[in-house]
Amino acid sequence: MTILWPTRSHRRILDTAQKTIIRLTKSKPGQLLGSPSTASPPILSVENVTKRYGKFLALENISLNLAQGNHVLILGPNGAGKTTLIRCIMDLVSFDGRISVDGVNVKRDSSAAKDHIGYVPQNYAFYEGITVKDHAILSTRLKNTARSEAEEKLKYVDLWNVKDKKVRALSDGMKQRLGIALAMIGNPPLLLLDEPTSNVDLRGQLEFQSLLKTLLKSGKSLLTTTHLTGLGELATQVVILDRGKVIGQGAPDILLKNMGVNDTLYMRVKQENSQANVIRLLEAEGAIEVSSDGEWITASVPSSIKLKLVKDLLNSSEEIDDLLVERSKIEAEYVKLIQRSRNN
Amino acid sequence: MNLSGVWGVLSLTFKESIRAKWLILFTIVFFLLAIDIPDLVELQGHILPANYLENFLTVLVGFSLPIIPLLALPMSSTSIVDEKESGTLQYILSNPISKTEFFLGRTAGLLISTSLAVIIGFGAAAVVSYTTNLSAYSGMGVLILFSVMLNISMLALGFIISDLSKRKVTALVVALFTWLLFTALSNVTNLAIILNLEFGELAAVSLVLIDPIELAIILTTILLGEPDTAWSSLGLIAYDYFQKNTVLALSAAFVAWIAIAFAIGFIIFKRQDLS
Repeated sequence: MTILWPTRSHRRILDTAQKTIIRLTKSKPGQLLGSPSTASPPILSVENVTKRYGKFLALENISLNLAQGNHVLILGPNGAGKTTLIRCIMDLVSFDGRISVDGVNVKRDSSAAKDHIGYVPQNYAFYEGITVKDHAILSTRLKNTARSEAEEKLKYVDLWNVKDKKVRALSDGMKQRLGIALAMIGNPPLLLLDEPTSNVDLRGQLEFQSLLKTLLKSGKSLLTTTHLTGLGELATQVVILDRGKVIGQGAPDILLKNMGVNDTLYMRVKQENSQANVIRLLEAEGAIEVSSDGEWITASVPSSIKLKLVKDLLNSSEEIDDLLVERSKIEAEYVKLIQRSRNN
Repeated sequence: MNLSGVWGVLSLTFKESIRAKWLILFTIVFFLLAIDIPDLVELQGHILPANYLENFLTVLVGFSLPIIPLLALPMSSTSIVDEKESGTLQYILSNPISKTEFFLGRTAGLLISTSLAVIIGFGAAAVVSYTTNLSAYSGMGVLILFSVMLNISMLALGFIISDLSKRKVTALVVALFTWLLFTALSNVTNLAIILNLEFGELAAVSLVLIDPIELAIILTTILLGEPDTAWSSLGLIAYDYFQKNTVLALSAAFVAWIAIAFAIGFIIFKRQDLS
């Protein structure tokens, strides 16, 4: 009797077949095969993952699911365990628990799981001494894909014009785009971005946000780690990590609501003697922490009364010269949650 | 097996080795060592006997083999720790390539690049020195063979150092200390005699078996057919112990040394977490 041991390519075929069967059995009548379905398995599933480095507990019982086309933002201070979580997903460190990428268990078949992952490293950890084009070609070799993809992806991030430059000669913003291009080689459905905005200036951050929007529109799923602001608005889900534990998880708006975080109202009145009246009005309407700094009045306003308060202000006899409402951002507020968690 | 990935790591390693200039420098050093310019000048002036260059090989064995590790050890001892420090190892392994495939590509890349430095350096010197004297090439062939084996053993040892080091500079210092240790072991004649007298032949022979530099020197000297007056004390003791099986026993020890060192280097790398 001949026994055929499944090779990697056989296993991939089996994986794909298995996933197709799952989709077929879960799809509703009339639903097209392969179309987005809420029943489809998550692109990334992390179940009860714990990681220890000796006695140090780097991650404790972490669980999260990322649906196709969604963006999960992992927020936390330095040393919270964000990068360790990414290392676990890529099977670069041993861990307890289960992680699967597009249905493939990373512990069982790490290479097949990594076929579905594109990774943008922290601090642009690339080979600085080779050219941009050579680096892209290296990535096509590592991912065993067509060499032509190198050109295609470099053009996508607008780096083809600097293809012959050494990587070390690129600006931080360009290196960031190179990271995206290299991660996209092989067209993986999941991108892992480790602290992608930590080294770029404001312009670079804005360009990066725009690139992320394009990636999300194209159906990519993203997992981003950061300790900085600027990416919360693009996230469908936020996970707040501190000392290896999840201390908050959910949609950004719901998290903010649960935290009791208020928006900030800034306004300027035309006549200086109106300031006192406006402050009185704000306090009467339920605004808190009302203060004035020169010609500007600042107030913290709960979301529930925000609209009514603005309407009442505009209808009042006081002449408002300028008004600005700043929405609170989860990336700016998560530190308070961490503080609260540590105090408890 | 992701052969395309292995090839990617291999070609990257090879190109990086050449780009570091370290390799080119050593090729020139090996060439200059082997060509022995002052002797060539004296030969032209008929000051030295016509067959001097063939005899010169014995001298060359003594001072070129201990230098071989200086090429392989620093290159392999920094090859993994450097990538860990810079984060590029994490980048490489984020692709669908296993640690085994990475290790294979890295080993093959370094093996080809460093062995080429030895072969081209000594080979070019042989061509310049011996020109059409074909019989003289076999001697240089033996020297090249054991130089390459020594080079491979040092690459394997370097990988262990690289696996266990947390910083590149530490790895480099440990590598240089290791070279010094082996070179010292290889040159301390009295130590061999003391060990032989105090603990018997086996103790002195053990000193040979654990030192790849000494193994390479003894094997090359024997196979070049040098008279025993040209042998080191350790070589004489080893020959006395193994008798006519000396070449076989020492060659087996050399191969085992390489296999065990590679296996240890690979197992440590494979089991290590990336942190």
